[in-house]
Amino acid sequence: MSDEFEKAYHREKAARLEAEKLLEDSSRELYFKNRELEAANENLKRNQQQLVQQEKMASVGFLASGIAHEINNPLGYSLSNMTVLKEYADDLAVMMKALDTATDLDTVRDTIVDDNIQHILADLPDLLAESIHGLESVKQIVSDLRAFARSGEDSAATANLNEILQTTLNVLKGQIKHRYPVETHLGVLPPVTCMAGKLSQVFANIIINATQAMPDGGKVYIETRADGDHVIVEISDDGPGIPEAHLTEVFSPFFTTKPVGEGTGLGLAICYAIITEDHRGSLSVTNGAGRGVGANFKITIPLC
Amino acid sequence: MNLLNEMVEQEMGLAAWNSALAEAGLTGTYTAAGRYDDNELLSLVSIISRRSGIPEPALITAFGKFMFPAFKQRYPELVDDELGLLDFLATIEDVIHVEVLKLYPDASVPTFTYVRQAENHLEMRYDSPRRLCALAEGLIAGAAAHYNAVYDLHHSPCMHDGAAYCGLNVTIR
Repeated sequence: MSDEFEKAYHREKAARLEAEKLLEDSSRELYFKNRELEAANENLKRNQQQLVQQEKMASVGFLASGIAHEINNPLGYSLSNMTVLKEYADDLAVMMKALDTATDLDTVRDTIVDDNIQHILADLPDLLAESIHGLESVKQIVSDLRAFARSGEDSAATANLNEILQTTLNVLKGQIKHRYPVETHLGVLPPVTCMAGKLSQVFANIIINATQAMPDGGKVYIETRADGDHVIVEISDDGPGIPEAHLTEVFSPFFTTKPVGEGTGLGLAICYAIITEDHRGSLSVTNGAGRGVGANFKITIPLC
Repeated sequence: MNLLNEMVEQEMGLAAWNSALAEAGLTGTYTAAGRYDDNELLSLVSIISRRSGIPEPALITAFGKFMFPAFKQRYPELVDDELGLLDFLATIEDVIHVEVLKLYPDASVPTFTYVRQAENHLEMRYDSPRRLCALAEGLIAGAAAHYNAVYDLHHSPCMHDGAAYCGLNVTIR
């Protein structure tokens, strides 16, 4: 190799080393930036979980008055029955005492006739059955509420979406039953692996939105069906639908048409994340495509 | 790969490197950032070994020994001159490999585990699907030269004999 070529060769080699050094410096910088981004991403995920929980708790707050009514009603008549039962118990105690101290059968019979034991005996089964039913209703409402408000660490388990919908409707009942009758068309569904608490939150959010779209009342329609390796839930209403210009924005974070202070604009964005990220499904909205003439939300969840 | 290029050019001449590349059917366009098939390295080592008469393991060990000062020159901050040989070797897994992976996330680095048997005796367990324990031996030799350490190396067991890992026992005399 001539001297000139050798010099050029060593120069090129030095240039390559220099270029590699620059590349490594950039790679190192990129590595640290990447670490920062990963940390920021983790932080965002944690915040998102908190937002999901906050949004859920906001729904619980919204539902509180309806739930209180739902609990108060059966509790009221159960308590009233208990008062009557107490009186009956007192009467029966008097009768038992009379029996205990009686010297002749006629006196006992008179006491029993006075206290109208036939009426008490006839009324007892109804009072007890009604009270048990009332208390079981309260227990069911509390159980559904607990399922709905489950914390953010909702774990995946096999469940039937019809049952989750029913639980959600039980929780919403107090808020919607009079002005917003719900028409359900629940098909036979295979079980899916899902996070029941989170799905319940999605269903509740969409149903509450539907009622808010119909301030003068109207029907909410819920339809479920199996379709190949997916299950589909469609929730529609008889409201005016979502303006065409907003159809593509409703799942964007912080998008809301409600007055300032009334909506965070996160509800449907969180629903979208729950369906697409946590369940690898899809969530879309169209107008007039469901049983109702208004907005129709379509949720698709894969079977596995 | 470009360090193998450096070593062959330096020790055997540019013509030797060019003809080895020609025989292997390789272009020889290697950069530090690139990741190359192990077969290219092994093919070149095999050719150079045959031509030079140096057995392949000895050639790979020599390559490892050659690598160390080049590494030190390129990454001076990773070779702490205040450490002794054994303390330095004990940083390979948790310091050097971590830094290498920051720069080259796809790099295939071996795994080392350590047992400090005595103040002057470090047992290094080498584990890598590439089974380049001869290269590790060379790097130890290069590091020993840097730290002016005189040592004995007992290599047992060995992955080439079917063991799950290579035991590299380094004892300072």
